[in-house]
Amino acid sequence: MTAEPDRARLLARIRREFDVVEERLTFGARSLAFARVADPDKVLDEVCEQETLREKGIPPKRELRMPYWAAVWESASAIGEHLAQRDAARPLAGLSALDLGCGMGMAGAVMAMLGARVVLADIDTAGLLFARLNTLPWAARTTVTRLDWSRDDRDERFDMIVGADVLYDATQWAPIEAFARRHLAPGGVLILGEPSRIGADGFPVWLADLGWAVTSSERVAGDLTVRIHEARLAAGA
Amino acid sequence: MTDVAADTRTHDFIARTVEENPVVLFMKGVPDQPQCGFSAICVQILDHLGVDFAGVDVLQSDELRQGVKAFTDWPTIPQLYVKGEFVGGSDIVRQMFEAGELKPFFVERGLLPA
Repeated sequence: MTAEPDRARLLARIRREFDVVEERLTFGARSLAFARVADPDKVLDEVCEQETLREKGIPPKRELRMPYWAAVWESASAIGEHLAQRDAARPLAGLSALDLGCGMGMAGAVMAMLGARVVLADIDTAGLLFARLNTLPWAARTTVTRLDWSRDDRDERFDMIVGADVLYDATQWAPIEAFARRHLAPGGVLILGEPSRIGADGFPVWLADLGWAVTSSERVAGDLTVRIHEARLAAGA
Repeated sequence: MTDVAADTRTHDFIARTVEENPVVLFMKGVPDQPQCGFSAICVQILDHLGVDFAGVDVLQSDELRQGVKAFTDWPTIPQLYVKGEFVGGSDIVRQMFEAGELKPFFVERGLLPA
């Protein structure tokens, strides 16, 4: 089985539902092919139309969520760059990694490119076809799956769990922390990026109070500053 | 494609809007006639709480719609800002309302009587 026919088939399947842009993106010294939704607004408009219809009593095609997956968030690009840079000192090759809330799979694709075994997971399945497409060159060591971090468990532990902009809703901090605690291998690291939202200011201290050792760095992306927190559970915490 | 001057103008307009108005809802349509169910939900919730707010229709111009998304890297509309602070989209607003957190949120900021 070769990747090219798979890619063509997947792309054709995605294009039946979405307009697609394919780009070559560079992270550190390496680059990857990345396919994304051409017009996220169009996806949002469609969800809005279905919501309006739902209110009139016409049931939607699938569960109506805001299509956060359809845009590439700055935090995902920033984490990709962070990981590519980090890889020079602490290689990802051979590590097991989870992209939590993967959307179209940018962070997961970067980790796969760098040699990690990666699970890409999101609650919204609409983006998972993109995540599969974007990790196809490393299909042998990537898994793409639906996952609700507040309810679901994976039957495995990870050396690295990565989340891009998953902290905007403070009610999700506790479920994310609990999920990471259950799913990090001993010595594993949790890496979270978020674009300096006021509501997330308190997160590093909140996490440290639960026994995590947190180090934070910043990465400028256009008008935004993405904060990247790396956290490890202290022994016995 | 992107016009830097226009981007700056739009950015300044958004920054000024959220600075000058304590409660701003960037939405599709206007409060009296929302153009999408998610915007309508936010309007209903704010009206129900009796909060004064400025509704800004992002469908006025594509520049504004793109600018609002870039302003805090939030990809969807509606977006609620309170005292210059981005609160969230319709799901977060609804969740805070249903959890009984939204009214105290406005009360603490002096935007509703205790």
